[in-house]
Amino acid sequence: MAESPKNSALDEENTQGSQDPPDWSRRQFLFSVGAVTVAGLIGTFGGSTIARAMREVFGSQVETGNIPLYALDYYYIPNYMTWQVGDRITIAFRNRSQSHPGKYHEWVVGRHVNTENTVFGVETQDGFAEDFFDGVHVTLSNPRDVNNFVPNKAIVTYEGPKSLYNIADGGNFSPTLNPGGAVDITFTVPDKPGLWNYGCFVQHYEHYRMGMRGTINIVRA
Amino acid sequence: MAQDSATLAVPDGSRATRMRAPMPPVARGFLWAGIGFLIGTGFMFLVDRFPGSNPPFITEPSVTVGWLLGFVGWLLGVGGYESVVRPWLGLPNTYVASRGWRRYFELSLDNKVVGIQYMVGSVATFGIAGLLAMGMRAQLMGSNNDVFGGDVWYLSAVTMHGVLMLLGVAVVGFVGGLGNYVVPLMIGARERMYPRLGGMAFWMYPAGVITILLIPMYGGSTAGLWGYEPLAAQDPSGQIFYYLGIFAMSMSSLLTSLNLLVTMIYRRAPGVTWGRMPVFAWSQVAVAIMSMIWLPEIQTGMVMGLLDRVIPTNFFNPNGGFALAWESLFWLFGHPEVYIVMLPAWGVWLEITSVMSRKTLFAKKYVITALGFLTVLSSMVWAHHMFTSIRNSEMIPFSFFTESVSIPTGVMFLSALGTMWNGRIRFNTPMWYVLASMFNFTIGGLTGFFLADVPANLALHNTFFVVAHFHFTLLGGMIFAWLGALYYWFPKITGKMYNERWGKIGALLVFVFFNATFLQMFLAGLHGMNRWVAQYPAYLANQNLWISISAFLLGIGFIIAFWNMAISWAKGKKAAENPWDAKTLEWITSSPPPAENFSEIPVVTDGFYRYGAAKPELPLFEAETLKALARRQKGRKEAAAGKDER
Repeated sequence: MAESPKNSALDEENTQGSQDPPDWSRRQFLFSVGAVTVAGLIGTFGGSTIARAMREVFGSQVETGNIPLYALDYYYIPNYMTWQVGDRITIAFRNRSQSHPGKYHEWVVGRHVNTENTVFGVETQDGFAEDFFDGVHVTLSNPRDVNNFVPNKAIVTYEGPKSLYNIADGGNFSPTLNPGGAVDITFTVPDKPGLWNYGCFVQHYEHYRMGMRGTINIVRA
Repeated sequence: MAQDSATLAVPDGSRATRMRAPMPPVARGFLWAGIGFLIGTGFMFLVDRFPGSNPPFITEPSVTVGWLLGFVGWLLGVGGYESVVRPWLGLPNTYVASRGWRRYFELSLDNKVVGIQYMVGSVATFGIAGLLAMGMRAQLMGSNNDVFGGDVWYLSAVTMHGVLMLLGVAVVGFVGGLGNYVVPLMIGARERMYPRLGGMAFWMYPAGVITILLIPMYGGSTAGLWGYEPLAAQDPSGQIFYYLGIFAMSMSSLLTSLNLLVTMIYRRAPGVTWGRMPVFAWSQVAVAIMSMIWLPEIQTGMVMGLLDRVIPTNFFNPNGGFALAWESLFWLFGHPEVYIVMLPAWGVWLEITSVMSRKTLFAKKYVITALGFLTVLSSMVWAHHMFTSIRNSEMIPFSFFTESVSIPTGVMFLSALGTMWNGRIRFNTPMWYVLASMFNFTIGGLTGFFLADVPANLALHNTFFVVAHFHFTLLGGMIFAWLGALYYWFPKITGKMYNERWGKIGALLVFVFFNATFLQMFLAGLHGMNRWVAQYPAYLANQNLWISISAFLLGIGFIIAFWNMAISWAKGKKAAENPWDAKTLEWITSSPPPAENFSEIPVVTDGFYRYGAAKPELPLFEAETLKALARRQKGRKEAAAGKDER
């Protein structure tokens, strides 16, 4: 580094007395900047890897009762859940989209995402080949700003006026919420163990491609 | 906080006052930024309720407020608390400048330290953004690649590359780096007018760069450098970091420009009249005026875009707002921006050509007039970026003004050519870079004619032809001139001499592969290669493969160019006091300059570009001149005695 004489008028104006302060620690400086850099790199590139590794080591907590599920742009909180067969659970699905104009989001659970052949190769397409909610008894409640709801092959009980649910058909079991919307989905976890995926396929599956997806691990008691 | 006097009991019972070793300022900046972020997000978590459910802790509004508090915490942590806030509050001044290399990692009041901070910072940012560019070229090597794992990440890389290169390198490299370092020396000033403001301004810059680098952490941002609405409104949450990062970086440039302009108005040495002021300083005056007009404008736009997302307001929402307003707002700044980038480069051209050809600067008054015209004209052409989305009646005037920009630009070329005319040019590394910059900018300018003509533009809009054009002007014009300037003032800044052979090798590699890369892009654009696409029709793959290969070699060239500087700084030979026999004031003080820049303020009696007498008459100074002359004679003898052995 370029050194220059420091005993100048400018310095004397800024120092108190003749005593030089001790220099700050180089080790602390390097360690802290390095730690921040590493944390940033891990946060940018390795978040999902670390989450997976932690789950491998510590397992994942079985969630039960009321489980909040937030849809944001373009990700879910949480993006991993563990359910136990036979538990009675309520997914409190909330669309917290903050983009402008806000996005509607859906929640589709299933396996084997559909694909299509395009000029750019194999791309994901709308929905899952296998619908998790086939034949499951589901109760919907507390609807607010529901854009539409497709029951598909689920056996659905509606609380409150049906008109609030905008029931439609076509595609998988999928509640679709407007921005700020909410719906509670109550059901007993069926005996379908293993890993299930969920995702949001609106806007021509662009949300799913941008990473709006998650995983459910269903374990037997 | 850092410099408290702690009273310690010592074993013999007496009490001695001792200074505690402070925390490293940058570490404290990160710590306080984190605390500020948590306070902001926590506050929003408590305040920002949706009906029926608690919000997640990290939402766009909470991150925005957290970022603002974190930004303040960062500025205070790196030294703003001691150097700015305590004096404001009337508390005793505890600010003490560190010594040696530690000066560069804290808020400094010294214009040379801030200049080096800016220069090294912009070189580092150039490296990061260059790596992103390498990744982009890897993605485009084949028509069907997937390097980034999804189009949203590729587009995020493009966004980050654009923002970092434009606001983090191009503006900052000249205005912040060389402006802070060289301009006060050129006009014979001891210090800038507002040293504390200058020190604060630098530390906003890394905050902005880090914010841009956080974009992929928060979902990415696909709307690109421009953040066009309503596309940006549909983007993932990373878009808010785009707004905040540009806000921070432009604030840094704005405060630096203001500081330099006021310095040049009030701090010129006796005899440095406006007419005698060197051209580089004049170009910085023009840049500072433009920055002070247009950077607040873009900050307003960024805040409006941010409010559109987090409130949400309806400024740019097509339902009730006006989406095209964003385009005008952005380019209203965006076009002056490229002149903010380019004017100091022209100043450097003329500075270096005059010195290296040992000739009086040709048509200096016309050059300064042209700088004034460019300041005005550059603000009248913004709509040529959006010919595809404006009315026919607007196309003709904007096309006309755009074409007329070439007149003052031509003045720069003619002045440089006239200066070199019949000169005995020394072809060393800075001159190579300047000549390369002139060549590249010529190509950039000539292709600009096509883009300024509406019919051609409507066909070429958003193709790689445009990419090649502005890379020729910005990279080929500005970055080359910047490298030339860094090599030219290298002996002044470091006191060491760079390695001429490796400097020339680097210059040659960069020049050749730069042209190989971007000349092919013109053809690719004409063949229909679009911007902002991660995957493209297969018939363009061959061409893109060759562009990519050239681009990788260009990256190696840049590594050599900067590596040579780093090695020379560490191990170079001591440079002569005035290796180029330049006459501007920065060369009459020692290299590197003392903390107060000049041991005594020079008194100037003549212009700086008077070559041509049999023995060039130096501007007359008092005792300083005699010392400098003696040092120079000594340096010449030393140089004659030993050639460069490295």
